[in-house]
Amino acid sequence: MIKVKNLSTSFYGKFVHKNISLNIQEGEIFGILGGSGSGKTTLLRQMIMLDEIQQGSIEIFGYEIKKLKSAQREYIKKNWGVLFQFGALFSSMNVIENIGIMLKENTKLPQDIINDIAYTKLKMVGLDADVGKLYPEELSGGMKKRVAIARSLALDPKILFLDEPTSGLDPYSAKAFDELILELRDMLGLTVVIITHELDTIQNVLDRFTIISEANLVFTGTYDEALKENNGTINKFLNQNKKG
Amino acid sequence: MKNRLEICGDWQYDSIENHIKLMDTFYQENPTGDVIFDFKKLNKIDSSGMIVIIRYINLFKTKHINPQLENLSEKHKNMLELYQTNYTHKDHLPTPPKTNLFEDVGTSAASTFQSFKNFLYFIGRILVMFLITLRHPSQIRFKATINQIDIAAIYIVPIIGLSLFLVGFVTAYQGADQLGKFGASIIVVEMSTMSMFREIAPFLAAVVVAGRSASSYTAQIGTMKITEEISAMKTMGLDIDRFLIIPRIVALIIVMPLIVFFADMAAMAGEMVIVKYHLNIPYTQFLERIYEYVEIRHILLGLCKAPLFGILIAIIGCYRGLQVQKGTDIGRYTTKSVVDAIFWLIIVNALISLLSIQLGF
Repeated sequence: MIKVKNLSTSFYGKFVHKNISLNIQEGEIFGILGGSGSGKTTLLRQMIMLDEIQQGSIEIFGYEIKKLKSAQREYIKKNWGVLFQFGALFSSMNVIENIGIMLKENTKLPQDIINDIAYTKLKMVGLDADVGKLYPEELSGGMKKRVAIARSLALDPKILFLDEPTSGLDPYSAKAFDELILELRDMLGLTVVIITHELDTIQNVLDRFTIISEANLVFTGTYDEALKENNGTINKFLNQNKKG
Repeated sequence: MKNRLEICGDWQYDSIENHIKLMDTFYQENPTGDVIFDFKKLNKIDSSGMIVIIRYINLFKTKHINPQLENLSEKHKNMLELYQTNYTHKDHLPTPPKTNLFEDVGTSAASTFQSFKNFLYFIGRILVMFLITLRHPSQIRFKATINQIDIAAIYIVPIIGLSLFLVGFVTAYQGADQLGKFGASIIVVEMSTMSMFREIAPFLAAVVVAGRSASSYTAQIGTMKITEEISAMKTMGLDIDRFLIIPRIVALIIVMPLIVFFADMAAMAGEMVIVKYHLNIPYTQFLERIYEYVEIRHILLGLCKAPLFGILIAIIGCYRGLQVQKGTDIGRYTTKSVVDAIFWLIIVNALISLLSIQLGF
């Protein structure tokens, strides 16, 4: 689904990634882990074409994103959904308009059908229909993220990118959100790429993950494999999380 | 009566538009008996397509007709079930808010009065703080003040210089043209210089400062409120007025006369240039005439207005900044602060103008 090949990125002469490669398969929930400032978000932003790729290549759906024509670019963008850390809902629109925006801009469907679709997606992410008429500023952090997921699901994406989906949520909401991600994956057969450092998410949600440390991928594999690994950095990373 | 509908082809968000029309006609034709949806020729379907089908199934159900689904593949059946359990239909008509003229006028008057009261309270608080700082000058935050002077004054010099030069140029040109009809074009020297010193230069300089500083004060303080810097300062016992507002006011009080003086000179330079090339009056003669006919009180009046304008701009900018409650407010209050500042500048300027003429100053 996503192939990263020999990717190198540096800012002001300092390497954030040095020659990293990884493969994300269809239908899996893949985690990108690493300490603060380790370049997790940069890697994600390069995948979703927000940051430029300096060296190496990233392939999505078999297209190399550096060499895309604008029509292919549009095609890819309609086939993924991105959840930003704080939801990034459009503050001038209510929840239903936020979820329906892509349908409204890309199709000529009648408004009541768009509303039906939006309300159905809202229920799929576990929110009540009464939330629909509220504005983003009236929502709690967890609700915002749920609405943002509903918005990213509007066009039935094949890949979902989540940037720290459970950070800033209370443990109960975080757990519920983790379950939602699993549920959506099973229901819709999504491929999910998550940036996270919550141990609960790592243990319960991720199929596989990679750890970025000092510009390199020190580990790629499952949680059980990581526990068996006798590497200081990996153990430290997973244990640090336990304490936190 | 036709009562079998073939669902065929692609039912995806970009292709269901026409399917919906067919579906709607089918529904409007009021088929009776067993309604059958035949999925045999269905190719691809996404959530949007599925939701449309569910919508019509539900519509038929309200007519006590239960559509039969034929040739539905296992995969599509699961999908149908998934979206059927989540399907929500809600009439999303925006309810027009009831408007009552009296209520609207009353609410708006009350809120205007309230915000005016708050503003007076704010001015009072600042005044008290200001008097306290005057008695204890050591409490003035010199570094912050110098910093604000730097921000407010240095970068504004080129724009003030250029715009006032051009304003002086243009007014003198127009004046010379009109006065030339009376054969008195030389009078343009003292006439345009006087009006420039008394009114135009101080006012235009203040408008430029309002556009720059009032807006930036609102944006800065508003951002600090959102990032909870203001709350943090309050909990540390650091006085907001002393740390944030007094330095800005003092900075503008100091800077405004300097800016106005600079504006006066730039405008005069513009006049000198046009008068030389249009009326052939050399620079020395221009200056001599000013020395002779333009009294010092004209330039002093402009310079005395300047600190007052500065206080006005700083207070409005800071007040609007402190009103910010949430992220989306910043833009709105920044606009408001510039509009308010310019509006009050016009009013205060008119009052001073009237007073000074009445008092023969």
